[in-house]
Amino acid sequence: VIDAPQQTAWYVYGVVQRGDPATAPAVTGIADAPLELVELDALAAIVSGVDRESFSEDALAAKLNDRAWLEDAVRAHERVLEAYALAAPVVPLRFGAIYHARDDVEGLLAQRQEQFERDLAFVRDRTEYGVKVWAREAVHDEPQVASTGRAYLERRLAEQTHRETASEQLRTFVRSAHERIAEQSVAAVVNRPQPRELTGRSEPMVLNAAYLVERGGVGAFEAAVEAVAADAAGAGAAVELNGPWPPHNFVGADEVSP
Amino acid sequence: VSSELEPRLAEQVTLLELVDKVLNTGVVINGDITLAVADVDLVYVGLRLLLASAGTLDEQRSVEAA
Repeated sequence: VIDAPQQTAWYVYGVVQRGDPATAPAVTGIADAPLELVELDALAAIVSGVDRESFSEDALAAKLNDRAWLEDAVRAHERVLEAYALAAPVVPLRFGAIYHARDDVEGLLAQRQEQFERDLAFVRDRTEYGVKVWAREAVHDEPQVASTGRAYLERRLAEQTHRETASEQLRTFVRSAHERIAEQSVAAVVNRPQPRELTGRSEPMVLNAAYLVERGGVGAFEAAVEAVAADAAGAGAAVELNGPWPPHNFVGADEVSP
Repeated sequence: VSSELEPRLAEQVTLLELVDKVLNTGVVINGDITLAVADVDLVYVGLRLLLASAGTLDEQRSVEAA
């Protein structure tokens, strides 16, 4: 049974320049729905039809707590943006932009035209990468038996001094790591480190940054990350590079960050 | 398409990484929207989901059931 039009809502993934790319990427949207373009002047919104009932405000609030549903939807959102980002500049929208009517999607393009065009120009031929720095957990030696109270106190003081030196070293490293990497990028964003309860790792994340890199400068950028990574062990840290990503962190600059 | 942009399997990226990107970055649409996910406390939702994804909730459930 084909959905009647009134049962369909339009989920918006992102915005591209109209006619760019010339050939639509072979990728499907949420629930494997085919992608369509809603065009207005020089812009095109990447959309797919979604079941209006599943995406009603109430249903959505419940579904966001359904891990399997959310994972499928979030992966579809990312999959569409990655496929487009490989072929053309794309402005990613945040997850969950849904309209009842295609006219409303046109309205969005009209209303945000300047911002979208500015963002498209800014991300053209540039790619997002992520860098995470993890602190290696301090290694605790087996506690020695202190013969006297004074020996115990001295040992505790020495340990504290050691910890403070180590954390100062780590802070200095993280600052310089970010600066050295940012030098090889056109823009950088430092995000909140992901908490340990979510990463599932015992080491704390001490830097969670995103960098926008010129396509032609990816080699130099990666070399900078490698150089920083080589210095990490000495500072009690480990460096991870991820990407390329669609430019999630580098659009909507005139918005107030949450 | 430049060569350094290798197509990447979305499956290789953890759900945490994706939720962090897709729910916390990108252009925020509001105003004439009909369904506002932004009304939901995404951080809270994300946290619960990710704890569940790490198996924590399942473990808690099995402990409670035991």
